Amino acid sequence: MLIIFLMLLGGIAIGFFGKKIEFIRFIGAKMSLTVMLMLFAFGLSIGSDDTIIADMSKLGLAAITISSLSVLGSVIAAWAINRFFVRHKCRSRK
Amino acid sequence: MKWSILTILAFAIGILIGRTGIVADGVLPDDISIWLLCVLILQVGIGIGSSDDLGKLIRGLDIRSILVPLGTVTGSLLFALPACLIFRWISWSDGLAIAGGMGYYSLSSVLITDLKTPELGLQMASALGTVALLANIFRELTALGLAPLFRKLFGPYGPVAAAGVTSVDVLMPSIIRYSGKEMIPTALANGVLLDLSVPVLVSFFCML
Repeated sequence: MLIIFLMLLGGIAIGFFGKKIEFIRFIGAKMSLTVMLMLFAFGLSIGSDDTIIADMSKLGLAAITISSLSVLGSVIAAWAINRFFVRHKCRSRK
Repeated sequence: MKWSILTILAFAIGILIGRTGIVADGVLPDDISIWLLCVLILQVGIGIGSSDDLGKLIRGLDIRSILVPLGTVTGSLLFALPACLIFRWISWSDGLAIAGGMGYYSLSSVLITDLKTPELGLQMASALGTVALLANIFRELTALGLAPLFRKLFGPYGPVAAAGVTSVDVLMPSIIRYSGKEMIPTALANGVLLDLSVPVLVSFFCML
């Protein structure tokens, strides 16, 4: 985790100070390509695993549940922020 | 959006080729996904550092622009917890790692698979990675499809919070359309700050 965090910070520093350098911009812009390769490799390893393919409906159900609940949680938080922070600001303006 | 579809397509083709068994074990080096992950993390950082979004964010920073991403993270994690009680085979910390992807399906799925393999074995780690991938793709689709509904029911920040990391790219047009141009700084702050926090959040919950 520390390594990941340090690499992220290192990347930000490289990007920030090297944004004028063509090569660095190029590497940063090719992110979607890495993502595609990664997911292709991930797909390969899942595809060759019979247990995961057999369990796909179980995994999908868990995914939809977790994702629906977390979207619900975040929009409720958005509602609360709007309700308790923004209105309050309007009132104090009067 | 075009890239999202191409990426999902690459994933699907990968599964199909994997099914055929053409690619024998050991053709792909085991640590290839770890190397790709390192490249990606570095690219995520370079992307954040070199884009003008970071500068804009720091210049226009006020307390409320941190409030929305904070609410997005808290709401997502808190509400994901009960799901782990329903699906007993997912531990609460792994469930939080999945929800902590905040719509960043590529990064969260591979991070979870790689970080969980030593502890749970490749099969269970891949299963969790698959759940993370599907859950976070589904989050993007939900945010895209239900943006007008979220705006109506939960106010102008609703579509931003639902989008998660994608509020800065894929979802930005919908957010402007339904919540207005004045939501651009919030969408920017939400996307950039979550971009930064996803690798940290996911790897933190994977270690618990």
